[in-house]
Amino acid sequence: MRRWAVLVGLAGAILLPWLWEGAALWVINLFIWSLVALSLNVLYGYTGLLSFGQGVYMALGAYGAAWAIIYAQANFWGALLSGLLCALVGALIVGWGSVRASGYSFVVVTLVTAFICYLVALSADSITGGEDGMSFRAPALTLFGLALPGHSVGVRYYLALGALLVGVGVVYLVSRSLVGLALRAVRDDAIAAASLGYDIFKVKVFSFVLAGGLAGVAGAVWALSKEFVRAGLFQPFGAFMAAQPDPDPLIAVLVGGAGTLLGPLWGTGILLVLRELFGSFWPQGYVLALGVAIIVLRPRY
Amino acid sequence: MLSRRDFLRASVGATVAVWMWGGSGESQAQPIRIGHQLDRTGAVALFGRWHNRALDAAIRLVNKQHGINGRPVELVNSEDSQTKPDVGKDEFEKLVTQKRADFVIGSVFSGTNIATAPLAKTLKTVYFPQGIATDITERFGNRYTFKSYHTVRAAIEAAHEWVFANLGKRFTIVHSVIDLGRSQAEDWTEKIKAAGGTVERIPVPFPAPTDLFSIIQKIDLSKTDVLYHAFTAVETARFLQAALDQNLQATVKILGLIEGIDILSTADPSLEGTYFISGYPRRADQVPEELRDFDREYRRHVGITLDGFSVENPREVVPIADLFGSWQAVFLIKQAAELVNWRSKSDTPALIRALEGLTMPASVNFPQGAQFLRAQDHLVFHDHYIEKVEGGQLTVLARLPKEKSLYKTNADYTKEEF
Amino acid sequence: MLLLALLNGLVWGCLWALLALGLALIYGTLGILNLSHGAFYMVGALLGWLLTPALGFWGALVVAPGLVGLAGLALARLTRLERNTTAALLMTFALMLIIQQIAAIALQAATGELRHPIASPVRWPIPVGDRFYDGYRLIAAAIASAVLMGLGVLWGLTRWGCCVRAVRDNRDLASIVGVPVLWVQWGTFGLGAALAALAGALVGPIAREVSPTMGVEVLLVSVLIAVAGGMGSFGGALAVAFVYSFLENLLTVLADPMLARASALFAIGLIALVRSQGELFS
Repeated sequence: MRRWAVLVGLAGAILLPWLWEGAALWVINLFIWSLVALSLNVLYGYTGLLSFGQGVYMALGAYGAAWAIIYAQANFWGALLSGLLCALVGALIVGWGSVRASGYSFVVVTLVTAFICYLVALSADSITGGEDGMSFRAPALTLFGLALPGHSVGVRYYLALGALLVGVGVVYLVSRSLVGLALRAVRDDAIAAASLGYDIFKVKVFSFVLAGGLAGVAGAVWALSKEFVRAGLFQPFGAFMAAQPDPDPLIAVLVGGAGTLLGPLWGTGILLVLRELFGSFWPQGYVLALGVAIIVLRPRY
Repeated sequence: MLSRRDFLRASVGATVAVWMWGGSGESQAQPIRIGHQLDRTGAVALFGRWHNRALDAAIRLVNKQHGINGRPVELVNSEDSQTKPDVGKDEFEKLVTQKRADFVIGSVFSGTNIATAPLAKTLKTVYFPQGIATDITERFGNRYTFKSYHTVRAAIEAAHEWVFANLGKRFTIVHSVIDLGRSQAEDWTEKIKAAGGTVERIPVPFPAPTDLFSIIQKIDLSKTDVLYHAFTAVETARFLQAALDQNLQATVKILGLIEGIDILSTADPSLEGTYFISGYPRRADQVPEELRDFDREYRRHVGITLDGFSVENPREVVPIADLFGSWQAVFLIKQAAELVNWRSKSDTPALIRALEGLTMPASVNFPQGAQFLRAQDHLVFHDHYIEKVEGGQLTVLARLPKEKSLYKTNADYTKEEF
Repeated sequence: MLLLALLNGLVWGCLWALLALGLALIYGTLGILNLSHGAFYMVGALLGWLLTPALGFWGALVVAPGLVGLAGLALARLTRLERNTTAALLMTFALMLIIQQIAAIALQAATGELRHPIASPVRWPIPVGDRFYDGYRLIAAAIASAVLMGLGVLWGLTRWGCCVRAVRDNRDLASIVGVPVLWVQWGTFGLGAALAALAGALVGPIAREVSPTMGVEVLLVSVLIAVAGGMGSFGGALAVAFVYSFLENLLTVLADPMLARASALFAIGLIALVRSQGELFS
């Protein structure tokens, strides 16, 4: 029964752009934001590091892809790789400098870093486009000798789906491995973990960089799908400046269940569905509901 | 007790049901569909609502004029573009692919226009962006984008001679660093340099800081005849207020595009004595004689009082000139579609060729006056006005014929393939 | 020109100090970063505007922070903010969202728009050279510095200040010697909220408008200032607030406004980063 449900779900997910293009456009957003939430879950859910700055690595991924296309005429895969690399490098630098902080200090550092990145992105508007942003055309996707138009719904959909599946796969493998055990050990009791011989610093940096990389891929996919980037992506709490905020990864993780493999996906789905439902009769109620949800759900770590 | 999973199933089910229900309502009738990339929320929500009203009124009028080629016209609205380029682009795609819009009238937000333009070409759908960024007729436009109301560059071209002759050539330009402000600063600088004047530029971060005091401090009054401001609507009000605090209104001439105060009442003391470049007078008694009949009709259809306020809410200022972009786009479609007997989207290339170089006589369909659409950059040229706030009212000082705004363009979309 | 920039720097220094101090006090006694600080600031400006017709501006200036302070105290109690866990931090995040959204709904319902202009309560243009300086700012600065001094006295000389410092230094020990730890914590949260609200009510007529999101950037800047000043220290926050304010105003006048804001924030941000590596971590 369960296996059948999974198969039908997968088949539906794979065939969706052929069956119902309009829904596919909506589901692309679900996949991308799920991947961002998934990345934050590695950091917060598995390792216990609360961050308000995960948007930075998504933004770096988006800009990495955009820059590769605009300045280097990169192809589709080149753009994705460039996004991933930008996010990884950024996460390595910030992670190296910040994970020694614990508890609130770490939160403060992520917040401050994100704000500084936003300021830098605003000031360097000749290469970031500032608040106006930059638009570009996604290059054609060449696959097995076939050139597919980069902006078709199908390509965007399968790209987002593929990225999410890979992301889930990576997190699954990591969480099942010894490294995953180390992450949870650090989360639950850092002192005990250290006495068991884990290098807490290395474990945390690994978690930070893995999360950054996943968010970077999500950002690159976002940029390729929207053919657009803007400095506001870096802004901490930037989503809440808009009337209809994009699903906040932290709230998605809290709603879906921190530290579970598929929780962030469910959480993102719930946020998007809520936004849709509220949007039709009381758009302003959505953010209110998010606030109440956090209080009611009482986060664990 | 409802578990998390039950709740999930229920909510997913509910949304799917709502969708199916909404989706199945579409009819298979024959009307021509004009889509509106509508910002219901965000910075330009107020403009979005009024443009939608103008479109609604224009389409009712078209249907009274026996539609287009005898077919009725229908307005299809996007859900909400949220004043966000990435969302607006998705909404455009949904308008064309799902709601089967034949033409789309664009957002007022230039960022959304620029993000959407390439997609208009990909989906072979004529798109009328309503932002006033020059770039949409230069770098970022294409054969499928048409600008039915002026751009920044056209307005500056039209006004610069009058401004230099009557206000002075020593400028201080205070501008927001977003494209809207920067492009005005660049175009003015070029004109001022060519006329042998001086220019000092003060860029202001976006969003503008809470306190503009120190920025206004930077303005050197001894070297300034004209203080030019280029901000978004909300920030213009704050800038003028901050200028009044330092008594600048008394010492220099303050000039800007009417877009900066499009939805502000001119009764505020910070606006008294300031100059604006506009595409149309806000008050009916300032409209040129020969256009007054059309003006009355236009105001009646859209619901604007003779003073430029909303009929329902006498305190709400209507961006009357800005709405021509949407109103006239509908009639541009009508005029061109009837010229080439447009039947379906496969006739769109012919319609584009008809639009390129089209001239429009003054009529209730084109109440702004006689106009023409330049073939190379797909920009409509119309008259401009210099208005000054006197006694809390916008008063026309000069009318600048449309030929004056005819600048040299670098674009040539007519060479593009369809 | 420079003189006016310095003067304006002084005025804003006082206002930033109010904000950063509230944040630092809350951090010191409750050990949490109050993410709803910007929201309280915004509510202060909003209430200041709403209450002005009934109470006059000066009345509103007293009542608005008072109301926000009481609300802060009640919220701290209800959500049990004193429990020093990540949960408390997320609670303040939730409070920020809720307060901001309620303000947006209220403002939209009352005015039909998401921002509303605020008039200046006094017309006192002071002629300086070829232009004017808005005298209201001097009054605002005077009020802010009076409150700051009052706080200093409270902090250093009264039983309350002693209790707060005791809780900050060692909660358990304070509890043993009979300090009502919970009430000190809730009260400090209320006081911090009231300071933010006072700053908001004072800034309203300078910013000339209220909007629900006006607190977001203020929150980030005051976090930077409070952290750079060494969270929980009175003098540090004060000093950094003035340094930041002078830097921003002077650089705006002498150099480029773009560069000024970015570099002033960048400088404070770097100090904040270094600081949070150091003493905050131990």
